Parts: sequence; C-alpha cells; structure tokens
Amino acid sequence: MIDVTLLLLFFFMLAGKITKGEKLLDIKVPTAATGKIPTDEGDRDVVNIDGDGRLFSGSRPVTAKELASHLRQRFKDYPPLKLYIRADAGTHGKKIKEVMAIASEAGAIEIIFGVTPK
Amino acid sequence: MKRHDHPQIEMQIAPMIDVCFLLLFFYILTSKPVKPEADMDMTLPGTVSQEEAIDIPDEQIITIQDNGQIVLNDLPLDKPDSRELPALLATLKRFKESADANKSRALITLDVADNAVHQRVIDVLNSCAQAGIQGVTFAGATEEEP
Repeated sequence: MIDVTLLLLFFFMLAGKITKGEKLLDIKVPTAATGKIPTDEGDRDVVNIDGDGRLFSGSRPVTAKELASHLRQRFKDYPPLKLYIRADAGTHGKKIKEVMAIASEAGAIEIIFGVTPK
Repeated sequence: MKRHDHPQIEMQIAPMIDVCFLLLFFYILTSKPVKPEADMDMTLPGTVSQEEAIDIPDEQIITIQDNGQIVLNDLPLDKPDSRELPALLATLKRFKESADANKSRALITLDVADNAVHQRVIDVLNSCAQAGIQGVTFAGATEEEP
C-alpha cells in the first residue's frame, strides 16, 4: 500500500510539474480594476505576446507574416474576427501596435486585451 | 497432479480510502487557485488609413511616452512612475460629462510610444473605462508596415 501511495505521489508530482511548464507561456498580463470577466470565450482568436515581443498564435510561435495569414484565413472561415491579445505587462507598445495593425488589416472588428482583475 | 491453492484476495477498502483522502488533502493544500482573466475590449478603426485628420469636436488625444508619462492634448498629467492616474481620470470624467451634455460621443485616441510598456496602456484604458468612455482607438494601428 505504501508502494502504491508513493507511486501515485510521484505520478501526480511529475504531472503537476509538466502541466505547470505548459501553462500559459509564462505571460504576466497587466492588472486593471475595470476588467470584465467574459461569459462567452468561444468566438475569439488568441494571440500571446511575451515580454520579449515574441508572437504566439495560441501556444504556437509564429512570425508576423504567419500571424497575418492565419488571421486572414480565420476571418475568411469564421467572421467576424475578434482578437484576444494576451500581452505581457512589459511588452513594448511597438509590438502591440504591430499586432493591432495586422489584426486590422485581416479584418478584425474588436480587440480584447487580457488583464488580471485587481 | 499438484494443485496450487490460491489464497483468497480481498479488497481492503479502509486503507484505500485513507490513502485517497491523504492524496486529496495534499493536492487541495498544494493547488493554487487559477485567477480568471478579464477582458478590456476596444473596437478597431477601419482598415483604410486616413491621410488627413478629420475634425471631430469631441476627440481627445492621449499620448503615452516612452517613460510612461501621460500627455493629454500636450498637457502632461500624473507622474510617469505612478500606477494611479487621478488627474487623468478627473479630466476624462469632465470630458465625458461635457460630451454627454453636448449629446456627442466622447472619443479618445491613444498614441502609444514604441517603448512604452503595455501595463501603461492598460492603465490608461482602465481610466477611460472608469470615466465611462467607450470610444477609444489607437493612433497608428492601421498604418502599413514598411
């Protein structure tokens, strides 16, 4: 029984560590008091931007060109396009503007910034 | 022929429950609650870039400089290193009130410097939301890439 307990413990400890590594790309989104908790998250495309300005479509690293073609395709397949930008609090404004320009050109109507409620 | 006698195996439920509780307790104690993320949304302007500025009476331009200094129509407001923006919020509230009195839509254009951090942009958006201003756009968001 002790063997089984230890085995389970090891399993869950390792599983916990692996999921932690995969979780949300270690992006610390900014805090804001007026953020609204969404009720429906299904109709949005997620773009992650880390502190160094690297772009991720979901969890897949992409270049600006790849992101643009992905968003154009997404807009073609399932309009209207809403873009959820999860940018690190330390991301520079230049990168945010670049992604917004890409989104705008792809036909996005709404940009949603991910924040942590205070 | 020799016959093997298999001992009767019984499932011990009580220690199993003990272990289950132990593990449950451990994971409840060690698990961190995941904070839900909230939304701050804004509508994008059209994809056609405007060559000349249109004369909109109730439009204010907020510039966020590289060091985090907020400038509202050439007037610097609040400290660049402070997260609280009381002067900006008070001005935006007055702006919203006067726009409402004129029955026009309060519009804010954000001009973000290249090296301004994202947290600062969110701080300004937060102040706009607190003042009840819905129309916020980004300057330069529709510019073509060189």
